[in-house]
Amino acid sequence: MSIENFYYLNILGEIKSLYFPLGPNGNGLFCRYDIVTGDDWELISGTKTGITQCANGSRFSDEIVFNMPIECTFKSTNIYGWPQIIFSIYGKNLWGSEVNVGYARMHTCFITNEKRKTEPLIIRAPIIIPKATNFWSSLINMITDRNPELRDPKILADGTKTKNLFTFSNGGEVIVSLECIAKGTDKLDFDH
Amino acid sequence: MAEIYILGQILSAENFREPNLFCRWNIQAGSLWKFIEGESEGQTATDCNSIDQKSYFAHPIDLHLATRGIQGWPKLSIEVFSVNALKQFCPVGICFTYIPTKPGLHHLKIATWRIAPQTVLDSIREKFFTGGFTIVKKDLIHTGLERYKIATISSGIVRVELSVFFKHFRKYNIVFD
Repeated sequence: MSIENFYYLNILGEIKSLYFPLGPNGNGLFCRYDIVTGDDWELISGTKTGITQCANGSRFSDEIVFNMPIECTFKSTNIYGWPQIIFSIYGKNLWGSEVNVGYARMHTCFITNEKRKTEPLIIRAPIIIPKATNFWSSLINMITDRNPELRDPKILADGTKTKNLFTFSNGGEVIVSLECIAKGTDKLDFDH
Repeated sequence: MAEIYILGQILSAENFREPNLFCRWNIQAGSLWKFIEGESEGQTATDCNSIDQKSYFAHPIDLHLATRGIQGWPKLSIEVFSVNALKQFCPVGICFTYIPTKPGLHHLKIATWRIAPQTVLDSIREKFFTGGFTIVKKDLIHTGLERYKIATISSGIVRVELSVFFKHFRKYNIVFD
């Protein structure tokens, strides 16, 4: 095995919009994204994190459009630890303070340029909202119109740490369109 | 050694009568297989969703396996549990599926079953979400040898998305079509 056994993965796309079938519980929504990878992955260009603008929906559609670009390139030797994107969504509540509206997690697209159909891949990640587990905090959450927040949202990308988390969802989705370009995967003899 | 990377997520559980669901999953493989990196078992967060009987987990799966032969192809088995107001949980759905044998992204929709209550008392207890039967011998879920001993009822479905990458399979002349 030579030391040059790595490949490049270029991820590009956009956070298209948020979709709330029952209406969003907040206005002036924005989301922060973090790209989480395994230990063998190295960021070559672009940024792993970003914050979108404050967006409001219109009366004529259920979608809140962001049109936020995502672009980064990774260098890796391994498929394990494939990049995942964590979205933390915030908005203004009834009292005008900024609160968390939910989280979403997704893997970036698995299909690279060879298997690509004509249009980019649309991924819809469900929005998950943490829930207070005792009565008094859920009462206070109801009065202050605030949801509990995760101290470190990156635990969502790790399957072992969400065991004691209680969540609910309102059917909301983060809609992302992504494309992947890989370089050097042939050398590693992958079938994908 | 040929290698397999399994990536994906347990997306949701649908059409379950019970509220507050979580899944316990694990991946087993035969004796020729070796787990190299990643977790081969786990438990999702509890989703307290009661609107239109859909619970979203979006729980990540990321696993790296190596093998010396294709016998004992890996299987994913999932148990769905329901939590009641007293934080007691009981199984409401059991299922397994083989990891897809073709490279690429797969959207799997797995139908589940659970153990049928045998007496009237048991069925009343189950109606009030205070307990169903669980399986002690977990290999009953993914093997077919002793299935004839149990009586079951069909339950909801679990949606799983898996993407499978193969490495060095062409080198050992294993073809997929």
